[in-house]
Amino acid sequence: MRGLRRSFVISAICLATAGATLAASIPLTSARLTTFAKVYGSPTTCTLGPAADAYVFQLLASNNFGTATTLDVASTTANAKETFIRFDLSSCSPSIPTGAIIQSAALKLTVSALAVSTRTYALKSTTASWSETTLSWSNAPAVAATATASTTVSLGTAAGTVVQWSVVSDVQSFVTAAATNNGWRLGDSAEGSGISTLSFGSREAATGRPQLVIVYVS
Amino acid sequence: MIRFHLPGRALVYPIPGLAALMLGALIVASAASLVPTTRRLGAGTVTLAACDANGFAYRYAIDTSGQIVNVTVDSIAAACAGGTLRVTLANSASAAIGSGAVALPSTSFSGTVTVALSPTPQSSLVAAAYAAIEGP
Repeated sequence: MRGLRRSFVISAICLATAGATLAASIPLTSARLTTFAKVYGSPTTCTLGPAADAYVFQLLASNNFGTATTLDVASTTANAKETFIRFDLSSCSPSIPTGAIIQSAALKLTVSALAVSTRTYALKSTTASWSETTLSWSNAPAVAATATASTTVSLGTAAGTVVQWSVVSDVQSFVTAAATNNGWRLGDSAEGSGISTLSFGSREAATGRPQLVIVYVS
Repeated sequence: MIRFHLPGRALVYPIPGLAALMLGALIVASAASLVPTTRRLGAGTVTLAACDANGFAYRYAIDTSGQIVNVTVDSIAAACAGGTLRVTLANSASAAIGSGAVALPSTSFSGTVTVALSPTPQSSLVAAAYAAIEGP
């Protein structure tokens, strides 16, 4: 009877807070019980432009392309190109609370020239800091072993097409400080094979600049 | 025991099952009207005391498919050490979509624990988080 009464008590608590049958799965055998409910509000959207972006070029390994109007990715052996991009999440207003739940986060890049082949582009978080004005192929930071997301761009994709990668897991980690936000590197998933280059607008472009769109609840 | 009165005599029937059923119905009927207003809730002969009065903070971890794999609960009072924390995430219809439990260390408790969730809910579906510590 004691067990029944206690189960009833916790049921009452959760009914009062949740209006549901959540408590049915909570067995209670102690006379001490602490409960808290957190109800999340309506989603908030934060749209950011990059704080820094640049591409690096294997052939010109010491050169910096931080002020270029494009972000290039190329697969070609010995002539590969990779793009680095970083957003300052603290620029969101209102700021994203540590306890927020990131519902979605999308890195959006706009194609700036017709895609001449079908390629898959892998986005990986960078594991060290870098500077837009000094970044080069030679000093590019290391990246995570596993891609955060990969997206395939098909042959014939026209300029102006927006391509996106889901970065919800990384943004959640950045918000909780479980990981340091050093941005991402975008590269051809089969770098070194084939001959392909794709360009996206950079933050210096007149139109089609990169965006990070974050939707969260707190 | 239920006593039935008939003309000229009294009949006594032991019907414990029926009595329990009626008591159960009484409890269920009472439950809907209970709204806790303090950290101590009394019901019948049982009184429940809280080990933390200030609430918890949550930090979520999401995998690349957008599912919440665990939640780290911070700011748990030291008085809760030795208890069991259960976290349930609910959707906008107040249905449970992910839950997990972890025993709080009884010694050297830091006030922070991570609870793995099962199933792992899509982050976009979570509308509320409920935490309960039973004990210590």
